[in-house]
Amino acid sequence: MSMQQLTAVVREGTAPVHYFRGGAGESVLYLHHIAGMQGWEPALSELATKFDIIAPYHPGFGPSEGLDDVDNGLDLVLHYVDFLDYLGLQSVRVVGHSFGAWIAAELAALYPDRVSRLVLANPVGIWDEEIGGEDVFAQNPGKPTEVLFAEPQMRENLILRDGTVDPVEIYVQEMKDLKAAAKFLWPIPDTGVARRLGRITAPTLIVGSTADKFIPSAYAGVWKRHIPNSDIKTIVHGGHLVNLEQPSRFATVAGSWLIQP
Amino acid sequence: MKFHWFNLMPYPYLPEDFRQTHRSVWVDVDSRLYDPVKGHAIYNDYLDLLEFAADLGFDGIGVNEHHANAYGLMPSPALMAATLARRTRDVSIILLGQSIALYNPPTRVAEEMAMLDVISGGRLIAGFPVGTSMDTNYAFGANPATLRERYQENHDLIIRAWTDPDVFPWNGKFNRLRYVNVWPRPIQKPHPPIWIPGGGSVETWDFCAENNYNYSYLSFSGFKRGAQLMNGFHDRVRELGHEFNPYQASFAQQIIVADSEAEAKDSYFDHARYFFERCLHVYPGFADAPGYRTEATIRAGLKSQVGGVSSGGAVGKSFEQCVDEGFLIAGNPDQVTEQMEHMIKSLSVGHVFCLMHIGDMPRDKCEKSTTLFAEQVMPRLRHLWAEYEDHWSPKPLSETAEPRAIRQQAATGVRA
Repeated sequence: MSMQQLTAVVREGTAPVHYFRGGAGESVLYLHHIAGMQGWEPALSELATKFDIIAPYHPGFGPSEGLDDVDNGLDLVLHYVDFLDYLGLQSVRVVGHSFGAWIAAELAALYPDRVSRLVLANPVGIWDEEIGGEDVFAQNPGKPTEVLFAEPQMRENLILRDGTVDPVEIYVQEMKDLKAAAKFLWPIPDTGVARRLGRITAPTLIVGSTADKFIPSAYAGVWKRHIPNSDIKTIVHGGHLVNLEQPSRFATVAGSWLIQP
Repeated sequence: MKFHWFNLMPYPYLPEDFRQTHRSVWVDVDSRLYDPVKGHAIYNDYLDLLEFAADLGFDGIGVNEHHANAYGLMPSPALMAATLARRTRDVSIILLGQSIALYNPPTRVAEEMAMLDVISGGRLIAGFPVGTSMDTNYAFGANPATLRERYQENHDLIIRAWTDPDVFPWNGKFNRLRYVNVWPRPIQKPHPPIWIPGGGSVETWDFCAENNYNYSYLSFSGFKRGAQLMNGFHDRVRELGHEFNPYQASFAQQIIVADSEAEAKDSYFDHARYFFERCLHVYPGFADAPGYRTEATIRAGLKSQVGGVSSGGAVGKSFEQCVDEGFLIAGNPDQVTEQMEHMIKSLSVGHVFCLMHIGDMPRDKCEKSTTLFAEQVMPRLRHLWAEYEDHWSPKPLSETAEPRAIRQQAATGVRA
């Protein structure tokens, strides 16, 4: 599968966006989770067999700088409107995962004509005290993303890649990503998005993962209640980073929703 | 050479098995461990000790700010400073400080510190800590991604509020005030000396060097580990083209003075162990929120200010190891004098925060150790750095008001 690593300045004076683009077919904007991306991930590669996948790093995540360019959800939405304009795309399918699902939902609520179909996987942004969820920002230093996996040791395999990468560099990167997420989600991941979800017109699939400790799968039902034309799929044994844990399952669930007209 | 007496004001009744049965002394520590009736006696003992130290000739007495914890019971340090300002003369009141990023609007800090400076007759030292991650991010909910930016803005606003005689508008990112006009204004001009407590972030060094602030390195890892960091600060001052002055640097050190080394060990060391094992028992997940440390500081391997990553250092160590490694300066007056001189010279510091109340130390032991220090150690170290001028101590009024004697005597101690 041919994949390109690209950068774009979407608005004058802002930091360049780093993004991947690969595959062919209908364009799909993939908005990544709270802990960034592990490069061109297997799930993206699989989705790219059917779609034109565009996967940007959010401002302040991964190699992207520009956290100072965005202060709130509206800034993030406009950042992605500018990005779509830059790419010359009027309306796209969107897969948002975790933190990215929050942005995807905001984009679909504020600009319904720019989002034709929507997948929200383990979406962040609604807080319910009864459901709760682990404090992703109060984890043991040195292994802060462990809690995002169904089994803690999966961090070793999937982020540290079985010890083949420098743990210090990875730790610095994890803290950079979590800092960027914290800017919008600290101290409780309630972004107020629930008030705006009723504006979404795109057919929406909400994905919950049964072993997600950060966003327990019970939240999927809350999201569904707020989004008019929506459905739920549950991934068994999936943690918050189900895209890394079960890439094929993740790609199949998202892909079979997006492939519909 | 200047000596300041500091009391962290820990809660001294944490259970023996606290480490095993509780995950953290900070943030989510069980409030059922706190007994307010005991707390009444503790606060009064602790304030008495600060005033006792002032009477013995320490240059300053210090208080600081922590939240949701049993390590230090001063969520509002300005309250403590206010009682000390009324009950002491001459001595510097070191408010180290208010965590300026937490106040909204931070003109509150400018006001309270100005009040303290005026009440005390110009004896205030204004500490501007960022605050620990436990206090700022977790207990007070401040966003770690913007904490340092907010600290910077609040600092700029406070300084302008103290120094600009005109009413001005402040249209900042974190504060919008149409009318800034602080009453009262501080006695000390342009403002009280500013001391910046820090754990060792490179950004703090530059900030102190560029603004001519005192850098106060607070650590419980001992001065032998601290020497490298403190000298990093001195080097940075020189690199930025400023003159070295030991009075621009302070260091906090736990100190025990007894009649003999054996007494220091047998009668006092358990209180230090209480401190190391229980008061510094911080859940590491609360020590370092994402964004609390800058990327540069993480890369440099510098530790957070208190707790977590650096706190466990002395746990399980013997008295001798703690002294050897500098966690404690302890012994008879001769031994303490020698260790203090070594510490002061190896760190090149003109101010020492003497942490002489440690852990669950009872008042009488603390008074004895403090007296021995004031009478038999301090006089033998006063001459150090005599060739330098201290620009970082308060300049009080030469004549100050005397509070009138209190007429109401607690004759019986019991009310009808």
